[in-house]
Amino acid sequence: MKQILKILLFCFLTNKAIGQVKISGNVNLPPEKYETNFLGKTKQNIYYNYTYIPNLKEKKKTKSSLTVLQISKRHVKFIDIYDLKQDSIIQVFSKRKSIGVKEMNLMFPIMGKIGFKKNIIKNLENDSIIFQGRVHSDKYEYKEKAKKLKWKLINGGKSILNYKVKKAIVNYGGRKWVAWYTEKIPINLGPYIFGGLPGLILELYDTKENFHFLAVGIDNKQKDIYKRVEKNIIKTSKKAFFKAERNYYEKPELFIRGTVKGRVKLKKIPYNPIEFINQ
Amino acid sequence: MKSLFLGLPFLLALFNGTTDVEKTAVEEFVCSNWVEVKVECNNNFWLCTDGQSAREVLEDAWRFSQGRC
Repeated sequence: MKQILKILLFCFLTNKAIGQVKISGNVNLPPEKYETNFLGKTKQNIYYNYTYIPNLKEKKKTKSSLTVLQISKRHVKFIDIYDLKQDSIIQVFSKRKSIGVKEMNLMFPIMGKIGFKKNIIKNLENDSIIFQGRVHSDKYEYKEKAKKLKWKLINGGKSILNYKVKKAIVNYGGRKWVAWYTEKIPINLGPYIFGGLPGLILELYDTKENFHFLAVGIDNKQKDIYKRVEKNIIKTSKKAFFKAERNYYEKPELFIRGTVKGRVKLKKIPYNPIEFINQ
Repeated sequence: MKSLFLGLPFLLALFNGTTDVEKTAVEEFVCSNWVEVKVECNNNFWLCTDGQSAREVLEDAWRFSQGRC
């Protein structure tokens, strides 16, 4: 009950930000199954404000979200806070007999708030990384080995969260990235897949400022790091995933399974990926 | 126009010596369950939920509501 009240309060607060979309009708659908693999308890959580430009033709219109880097002894997970909230709700609803519009109206605003749409789990023992991401209603997973980034340490210093930080730059995924890291926290990690510096990255952005991560908080709360296990997850390659993602934005009609009535027109959504993958 | 269109098979049936007026040239899509997705500017739409999962309905609702207002 307490959990539902927390979720309801959160949804009430986030709903305004999404715009008033409400689903009504009489429907009972089977709930989404919820299963996870437990990977460890976090010893540290780094919260990053994530700001991005979804549409390069409207660079002043940025969107923001909150992401978290969850660090345990053997695993690190990078995920959007709203993705975690969505998982909590799905977990609660998975125990119900059916899902109706009441539950859908609780899930919808949280779905819309997820800014960073992939979740990334790195195994610190073997440097392998699992990426999970959704393209419409399909969940995809691909793996890769963590790359050794060729950072260039350059002059520069400032302060973030009262930590003195130093500057480094690297080329990755077709973009030039700037990182500010602190040697006071000797963890060679950072947002997304970035790491390998002599300290924790507290700020990261590409030089065109399309993507910007800024640490806004650090805590030592113990939270579960888990990997969602889904029966119908599509295991694929990085290239195929990014291609599917691009197609979803540019040719949404390929993904719509349902039937719609009313004056509807599927519009292209601008696609500005964090990495450019050779197609 | 619609009644002319629907009447055509009847007329054809008459010429052919049959009077099966239940046959029409238009097959109607039948959906048992609809949800209405109400967006801010009242440019609402409906989604059929037959055979859909909750996730599919939500994702369709989200996708169709983009750029609607």
